[in-house]
Amino acid sequence: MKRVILVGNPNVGKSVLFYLLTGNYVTVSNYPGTTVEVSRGVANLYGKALEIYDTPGLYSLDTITEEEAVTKRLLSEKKPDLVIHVTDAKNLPRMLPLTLELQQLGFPLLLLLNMMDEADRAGVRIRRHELSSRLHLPVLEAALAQGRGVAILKREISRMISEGEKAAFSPERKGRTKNVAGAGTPAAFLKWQEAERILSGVYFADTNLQEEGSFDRFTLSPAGGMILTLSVLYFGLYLLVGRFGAGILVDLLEGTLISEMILPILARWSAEYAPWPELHQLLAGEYGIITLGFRYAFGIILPIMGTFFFVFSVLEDSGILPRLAYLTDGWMNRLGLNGRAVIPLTLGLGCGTMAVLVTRTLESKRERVIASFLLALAVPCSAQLGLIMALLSGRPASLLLWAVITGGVLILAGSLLEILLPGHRAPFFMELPPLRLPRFNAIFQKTLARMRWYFVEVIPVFMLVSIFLWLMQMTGLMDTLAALLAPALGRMGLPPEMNLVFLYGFFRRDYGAAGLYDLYKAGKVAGAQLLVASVVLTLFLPCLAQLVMMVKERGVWISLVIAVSVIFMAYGAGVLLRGLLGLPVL
Amino acid sequence: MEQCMTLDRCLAGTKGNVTELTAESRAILLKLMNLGIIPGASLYVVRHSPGILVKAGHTRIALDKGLAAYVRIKVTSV
Repeated sequence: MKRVILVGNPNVGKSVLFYLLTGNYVTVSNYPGTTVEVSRGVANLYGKALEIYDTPGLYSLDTITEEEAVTKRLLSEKKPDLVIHVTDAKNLPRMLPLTLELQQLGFPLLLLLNMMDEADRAGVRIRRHELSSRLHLPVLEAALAQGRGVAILKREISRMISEGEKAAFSPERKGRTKNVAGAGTPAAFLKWQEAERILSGVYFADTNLQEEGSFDRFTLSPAGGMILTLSVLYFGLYLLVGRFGAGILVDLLEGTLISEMILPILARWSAEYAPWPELHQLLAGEYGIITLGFRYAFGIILPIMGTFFFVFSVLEDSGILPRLAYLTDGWMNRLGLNGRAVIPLTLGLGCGTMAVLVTRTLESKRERVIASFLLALAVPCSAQLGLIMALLSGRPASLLLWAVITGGVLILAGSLLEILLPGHRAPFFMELPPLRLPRFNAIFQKTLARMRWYFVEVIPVFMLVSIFLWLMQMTGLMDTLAALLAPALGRMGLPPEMNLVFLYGFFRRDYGAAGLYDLYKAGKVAGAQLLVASVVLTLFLPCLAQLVMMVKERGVWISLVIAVSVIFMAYGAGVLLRGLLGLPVL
Repeated sequence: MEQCMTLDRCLAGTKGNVTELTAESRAILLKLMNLGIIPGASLYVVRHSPGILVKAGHTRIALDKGLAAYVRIKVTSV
């Protein structure tokens, strides 16, 4: 099968093109670098099947980041029959140096001037035919997000693929650019100069650097940013995820549909057909695969994560996330992080497991460790947040205290890590795309793709945890562990019944909060105890799934250190808080 | 009024041209250049706080003060 590789800067529409060609959607967004992994798909163009690769965004083949290295390796390994350089037309001067670099690789190349609609609006004009003849390359225009220029592009791809060699650039050009080939600053600068020469008389832009809309500018001021952040937290996280997803939808799915209608039927079947009682326990017992795993996955995770991913996609596609990164950079600095970390930390408010995976986008190992630590310690996930809000909703003072304490621990831990860990944070730089109204179709597709990912990656872990809990219960290990925990709980002023809450909390962090809710209903924890319990549960170890992900991403030793520190910090905070609140030791 | 200064010290509303990139690390130099901050490029400082926000060509770029300190510009208007 012939191969086509899509290359270009972050945020120029590569993923949109990938989707248009293959019908297989991958993440497409304003945030530079979301497509960390290479996506592959098959396109059918006029009856010919083509293999299409979507690569992580890159600025230059002079590789600095891991992502750029991936693209470079892909190009040399896959020997593509066609490379499409996707560019943001209005910023062509900044992108053409990469075109020149790609040309030197010798693969047939097509230059696509995308986002022509934005270029038109910005007053940019490009003499495409002249550019094409200067570069000896086919140059096409498009506005992919609007579907403009897609048919012509497909025809050109098909033509170039079937003509093969002929589309390659002429050798005389190769000779001319050869002196630029070496790495290093002067070479890079020469490429810029050459790009400038090629574009003179071809690319015209309004010389006065025009301003964006006033609302756009307002969102970048500290006051505007504050309002923006608070509205995101309130409307996006609290109302949509908390109230609608974790409230209405969970009640509907878990409460009514699954618990009342589906589970009884499945449990009856299991009781009837399971040959041994142990198997029935494993399937439909207290921690059974159906009772716990299935109910959990579809009744609780599906609605909460679904709404969260929806909100997150809106944040990405509208360009709000890069703004948050810019606005919080100074604060992140104190935690040893930079503005980029706002992405995994925000994601952690949805699902910590996914957030740990996303710490990959941070530049240095130091930042990845700090972010993983903070995610393990003081960033509650959406399910947990929802339950804690439900628990403390009747007592606004407690809720406020909980938020202040959790936030305080986050800042304290971050500042400590900033001092203790060697090295410095990576410099912060980021393109701020204009605020865009997200397109519903893209949001929907992206949410769907993330849900699919989530189910493939995380649901098997739930099933395993169910089996593990069943084993612990069968062997009596659960009771032994629980008994060990009781004295520690007493010192935090919490009743021994809380031990199971903590144990479950480890397996599923949110499940711990659910257990707490049950205890609260039963009147076992009350008043100030509730605050202590909420704080300690939030700070306590992340769920098993997040821990597994952390071991995968950070390694066993770092994860172990993080886990032990988190346990001690949660315990210490609990004991301290008990003393401050004047609760008796139990 | 013409004067040279580093980008981190420019106030919002400053316009100027990049004269020099003083970073010694090749990675940082490439980073700045890839963002369109190259000698000769004209910049417009959109915001000075909480971080430096400049417009280069048709892109807005956020930089921390440390990176901005590597960029020397000749101010053309304030």
